[in-house]
Amino acid sequence: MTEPGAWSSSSDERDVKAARLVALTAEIAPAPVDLASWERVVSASRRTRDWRLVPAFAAAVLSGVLLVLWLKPVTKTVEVAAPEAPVLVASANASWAQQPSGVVRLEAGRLSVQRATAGRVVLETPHATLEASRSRFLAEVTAGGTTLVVQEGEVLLRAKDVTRVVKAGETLVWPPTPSIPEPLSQVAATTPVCDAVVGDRLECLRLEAKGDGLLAQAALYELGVLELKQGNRADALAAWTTSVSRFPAGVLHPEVRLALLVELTKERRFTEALSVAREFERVCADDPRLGDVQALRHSLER
Amino acid sequence: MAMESELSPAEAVRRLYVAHAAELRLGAARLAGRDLDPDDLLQEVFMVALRKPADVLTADSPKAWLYGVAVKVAASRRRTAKVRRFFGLDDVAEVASPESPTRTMEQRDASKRVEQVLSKLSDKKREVLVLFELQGLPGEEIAAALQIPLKTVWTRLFHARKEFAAELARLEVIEQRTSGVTEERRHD
Repeated sequence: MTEPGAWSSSSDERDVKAARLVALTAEIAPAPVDLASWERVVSASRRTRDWRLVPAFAAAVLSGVLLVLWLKPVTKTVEVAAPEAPVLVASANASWAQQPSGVVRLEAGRLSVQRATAGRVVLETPHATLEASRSRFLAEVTAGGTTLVVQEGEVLLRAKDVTRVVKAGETLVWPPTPSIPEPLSQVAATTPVCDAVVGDRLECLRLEAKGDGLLAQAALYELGVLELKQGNRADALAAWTTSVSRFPAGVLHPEVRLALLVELTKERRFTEALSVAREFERVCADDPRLGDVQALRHSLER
Repeated sequence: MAMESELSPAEAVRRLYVAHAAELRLGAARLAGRDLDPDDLLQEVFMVALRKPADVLTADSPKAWLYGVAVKVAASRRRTAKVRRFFGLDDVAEVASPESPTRTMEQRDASKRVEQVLSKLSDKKREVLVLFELQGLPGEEIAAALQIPLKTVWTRLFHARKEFAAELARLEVIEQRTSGVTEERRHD
């Protein structure tokens, strides 16, 4: 852009008016300046900083800081009572110990936390880890697993890759009993033994079992079935164990082994059940129920 | 400048003071506004010159250099005054007019109106308009003072004139309305 022309030569009336006003103002001469004022300029420019103000400034800053600190609300240290330690009560036969870290290790038997305090309890068993605070609970460790009964609050159970929250009033057994495949629970049909006995069939079967041969094998199997029906699982297991040891390759040995496997599993005697399952897989490799046994074994191993 | 080089820097600046003080005082007052003390502004401009004598004395146009400082001082004072007004600390003291007492009544009224309109312009336009139209500085010196290209000076001047004229017209309309005097009544 080049220099604009004279403002007053504009064709716009407003411009002309404004230019006239500005020109009138521009014609005003400046008021003379007293040249003596130069001395004031010189003295003002020589004026240096007054260093005496530095300590005064520092003192003012310090006072300000002290005032702020003085006015600052004082935070009182509140004594927080340490959480009351939980009361642990172990049964007479319990095997347990408290580690330096505070973790309680329960190997066998029963241990109960009897006071719901804020103190955190960590209880390790061979099967899981239990964590709780402000809770009352009971833990029992057997060969079959850990039984947890929560009376108040809640308990966190951690196993290999599982975490469960057990609340007051709930009971949990860990590891859980694996589901038993249906084909393994079926009772096999055997040679009729003591079927015609009107009186004590149990006694008849016991007598027959003392014999030898096919009848004795059938009697031992039936004896276990009958004992189980009557609620005597231990006697049933004893009869079948005897059968396996006396007739390991008998006619009914697959049925006897399966019955043992199922009942030991139900009894939560997982170690023995595993042993029976492995033995079955070894000696009954052609059995059509082999796949079900393997599935159950996998569940038990988990 | 050859003569000035033989003088001490302070004496050279003093001569600039003698030569331009009155004009700069008026210019600084027009840039800063009527409420600020023109003597203070002038003093501050020459204090800067005394601190930097080499800069002012070796400048192509010492006058333009001094006007450049005056522009910055005025802008700074205007900002400070604005803040003080915001906090209610503004105490307007009676200040001596930088204009000649021999001015006519018409010139005085015109000056007041110009000041009123200038206060509505932005700093950049106000600076160029004051320096060119009121202080009579050539474009090259304004460019040197404001440290901007010459073309920018002309562009700003063009827009400043337009805004000034529009603002003046607007003020007159407002005054007519508030005074109750209209063109029609005048005709009556």
